Amino acid sequence: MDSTLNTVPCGFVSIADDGTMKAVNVTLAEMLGYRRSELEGWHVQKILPPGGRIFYQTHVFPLLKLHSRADEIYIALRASDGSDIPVLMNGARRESDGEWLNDCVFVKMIQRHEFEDQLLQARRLAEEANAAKARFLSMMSHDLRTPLTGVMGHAALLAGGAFGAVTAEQVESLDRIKEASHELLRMINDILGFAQVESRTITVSLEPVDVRQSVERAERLVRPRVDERGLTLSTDGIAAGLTVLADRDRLQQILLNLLTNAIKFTPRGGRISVEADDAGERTVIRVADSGEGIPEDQLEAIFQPFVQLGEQSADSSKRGVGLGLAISRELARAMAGDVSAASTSGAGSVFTITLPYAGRT
Amino acid sequence: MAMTDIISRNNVRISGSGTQPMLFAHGFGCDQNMWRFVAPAFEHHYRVVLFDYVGSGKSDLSAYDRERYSTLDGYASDVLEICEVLDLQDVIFVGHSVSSMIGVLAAKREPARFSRLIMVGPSPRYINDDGYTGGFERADIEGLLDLMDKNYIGWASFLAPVVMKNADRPELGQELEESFCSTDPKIARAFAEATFFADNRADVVGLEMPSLIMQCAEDAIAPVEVGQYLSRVIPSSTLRMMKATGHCPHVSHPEETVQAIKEYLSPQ
Repeated sequence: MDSTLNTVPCGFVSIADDGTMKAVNVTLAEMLGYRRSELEGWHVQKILPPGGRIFYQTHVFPLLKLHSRADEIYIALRASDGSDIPVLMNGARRESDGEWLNDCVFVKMIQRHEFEDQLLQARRLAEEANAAKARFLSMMSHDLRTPLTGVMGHAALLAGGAFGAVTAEQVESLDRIKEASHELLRMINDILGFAQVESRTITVSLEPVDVRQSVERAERLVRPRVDERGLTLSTDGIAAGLTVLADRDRLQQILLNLLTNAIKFTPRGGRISVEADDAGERTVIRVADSGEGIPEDQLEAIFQPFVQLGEQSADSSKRGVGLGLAISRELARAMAGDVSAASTSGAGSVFTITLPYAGRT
Repeated sequence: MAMTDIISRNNVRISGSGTQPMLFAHGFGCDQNMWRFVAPAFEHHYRVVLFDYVGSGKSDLSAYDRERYSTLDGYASDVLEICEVLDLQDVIFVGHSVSSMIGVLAAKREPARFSRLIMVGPSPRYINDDGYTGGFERADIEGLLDLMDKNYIGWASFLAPVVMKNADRPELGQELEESFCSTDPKIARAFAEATFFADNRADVVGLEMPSLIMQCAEDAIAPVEVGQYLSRVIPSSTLRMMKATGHCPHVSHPEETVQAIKEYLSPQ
């Protein structure tokens, strides 16, 4: 071995297929507290901890033998005093005098090793916490829906006079119970939807869906609230016969989310419009409003779970759980599309759904 | 499950011109590629069947079921399902490392289907126990799991497909370019836990299946005491001490491995 290889700042060992260390440089011997003569001729397992021996036999050696090289492998070497030294290893295979040798270099990575330990620990904790959260959300939303259904059912029975005549004041009160219950149910459904997004259990069934029909269906559902708030909702800007490749119900859910938000954040007398057209292989659906707009630095944040613009608002009608946009974006992405936002503060917002174009009928 | 589903789930490959099936099962850490220096030597006389366990090689990852594969029994079910859809009878099962025990479990469930077990570097229990030498302490196995985790942090693809020449055997280079020993990190970890925390001693004691135990010299994973233990508890077993060192004689010493199997199957 030449003197340069002996003193380069990384360990070097040449290992035969039977595991014998044929040549070891001084750097490696010193790193492990041995003399070269105490390593050369010995089996490589002498410098590996037990777990490392398994890993060498099951992963590293097969890679070297069958693949001719192994790159960026984390492994620990065992020093003569029994301590383990974390190293990063690269290996390559070569023939020398009719014998195949596996040349390996090792670079110490003690600080990186500690850092990676912390990363691993943090990842494990995050995964556990996330799984617990998803389980909790899913369970809670199911459990909350049952009593709520009871509240809504009984309110409807009372309002319908099932237990005797009700006064005008009582009807008004029951309407409020009904309205509040619907709002609560929507929030619970959002949480359940989010739990599905989190646990990656969204299933989509893609088919060509007529955009105008979808928007009109959503419009019928939100029309009472649009009228109630004195807003104008226009769907004239949707190209005729335009279809997208989407899941019909999921697209409906996204449209309802965006329209509900637009209604919520547009002041009385304002305008909401839905337009759609194809742009090459994509179809673009825009939901625009003349509301107060979204500050530029919030345009991405609003797609984060549990973030919403109305958070600070004294107007409780603007508050929610902050999941609608997060869910909408995930649903769109599950259909190979996306949802994004653009806004000029004080001059309204435009939410854009993009989905694969499926032609015109 | 339909035949085509199993064949594709386990990436089953069939070759050879013989009739008696030899089913080669890979061990932990790689896939059926591990048999490429050994299996061809049997194609003339046998029907050679190779496969990847779900989660290894080119198996169908979507078929992975955490519960099913949390113990070696799930992997034994894979073996039996492959045998069933291919209608394999009189099977010579050749298992490397953990697959030796998977073969034992399969043979115990359907003994009539198998004629012999050939175990390469077998171990029914890796962790030392009262009076039993497995070779490892629990902390050693946890060290292995830690190594695996670290290798999958930043370079999760280190075992995944990489374009590389096979300098050793250039004739194999083309195929190896596609994929080599690709494994899903989470599945690999679960397979490691199912393998190294298993205790199959009760399954091997009194096993009534002619078996060859191929014991390597200086095997860091299955020490010689383990091979001797198996030969004591399996009545109709043959212990073959090999010159090959390490744990993968079919990769490091394929000629000796082929010879040992041939001698066992066709004694002079």
